[in-house]
Amino acid sequence: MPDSIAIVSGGMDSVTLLHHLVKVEKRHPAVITFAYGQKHDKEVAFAKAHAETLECKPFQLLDLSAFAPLFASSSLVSEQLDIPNIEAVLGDPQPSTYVPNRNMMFLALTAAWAETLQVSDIYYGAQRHDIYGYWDTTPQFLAHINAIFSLNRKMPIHIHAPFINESKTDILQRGLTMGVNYAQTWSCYEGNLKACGTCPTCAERLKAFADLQMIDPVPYMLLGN
Amino acid sequence: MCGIFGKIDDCAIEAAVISPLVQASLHRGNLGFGYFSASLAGNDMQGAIYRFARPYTDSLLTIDAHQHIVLGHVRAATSGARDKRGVHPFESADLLLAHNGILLNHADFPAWQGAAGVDSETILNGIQAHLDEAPGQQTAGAITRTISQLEGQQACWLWHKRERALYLWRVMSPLFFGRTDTSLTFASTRTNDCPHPLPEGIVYRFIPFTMAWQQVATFPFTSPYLS
Repeated sequence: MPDSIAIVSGGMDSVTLLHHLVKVEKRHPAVITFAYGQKHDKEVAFAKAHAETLECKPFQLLDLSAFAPLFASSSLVSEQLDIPNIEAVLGDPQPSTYVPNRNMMFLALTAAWAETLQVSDIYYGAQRHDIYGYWDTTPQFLAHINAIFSLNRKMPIHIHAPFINESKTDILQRGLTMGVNYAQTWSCYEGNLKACGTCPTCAERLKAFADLQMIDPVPYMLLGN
Repeated sequence: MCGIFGKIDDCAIEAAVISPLVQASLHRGNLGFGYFSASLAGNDMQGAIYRFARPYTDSLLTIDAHQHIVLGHVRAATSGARDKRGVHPFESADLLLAHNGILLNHADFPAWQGAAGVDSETILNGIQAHLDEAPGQQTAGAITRTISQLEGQQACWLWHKRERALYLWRVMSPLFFGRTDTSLTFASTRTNDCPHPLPEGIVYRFIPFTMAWQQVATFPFTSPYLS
């Protein structure tokens, strides 16, 4: 039986989080991932693969694609909006890659499943620099949503974001120590065969690998690998 | 903290010149609007500060005649007070400052925090504290000693009231500028008047009386993004 739930997108941060929970924290998390109408779902297969490898059960793929019209102001969802490059979003506290109130919904739905599974701990992979563009990854958000879930009368839920003060470089360092296969993750906001290398999440991921003087095993269009 | 802009010009600045600069920044946040304006005429450079805790409209931009300096900010509230107290520019004994970006470690400097609880106040108060510690020191030194300790995004304009000089710098957050023989224009968003990106990690000074534009300091910084 699971003792917690991890929200895993299949990207670098959440996959590392899952390995951390199993290998370091010795938890037995169930895994949930969401399809919310994003332009591609490449990372979902990776989320499932890591859950299987780590024997995390049950695995729940929740299809929220019917809600996509609610998220259509986001360039991650709308086909009318191009994914911006990193230069276009720096200094913008809510760039077009922000998905309206997504994390609140993800956490609320996960909390519902947690009550059903009778587990009180939920983990998600917010990291230190997410704060630049996403209010729903901040320590203040975490504190407030925990205050709400603490009102539950029989099953108070606690949301954990253990990497919230760590950079992507720190997270990568953790993952490498744990043997995470980063070829089996996908961070790029575009869903092409190769990562674009220029979107905000690619720029951050590439910097993390560069900081550790390593080559990202994921193929990039710009690098020709 | 979301969009900064400004213009200094030998000729009097009209609202119709500033409005496009503001409009170009509104997509970065529009919960508040503030600006400083002053004249180059004679010794009258005290100027005036205007702050509005509501979205920008052109009706808020009332520039008096013979103003040669207009430095402004449009706000997306990422920290601190959401009312008028949190509207830029912030003011200290010697300085005015507006900031675009988010700081990550400002809570580590409680002595520099301000009444509005906005992270940007930490930059201003840190610089003012360094100036107070060693009167007569270069302002650029006070700037670099402050911002080299602060982690996070920042594009700032700083007006030194007694020096009557403008300082600009940036880390991650964008800032574009353009110069002619008689003017300087800058903004968070690239426009025809400010097409050049300001390099990161360098403090620039602009002196309106002489139109002198000069790199006055460099500082170390880190970014989580590969550029």
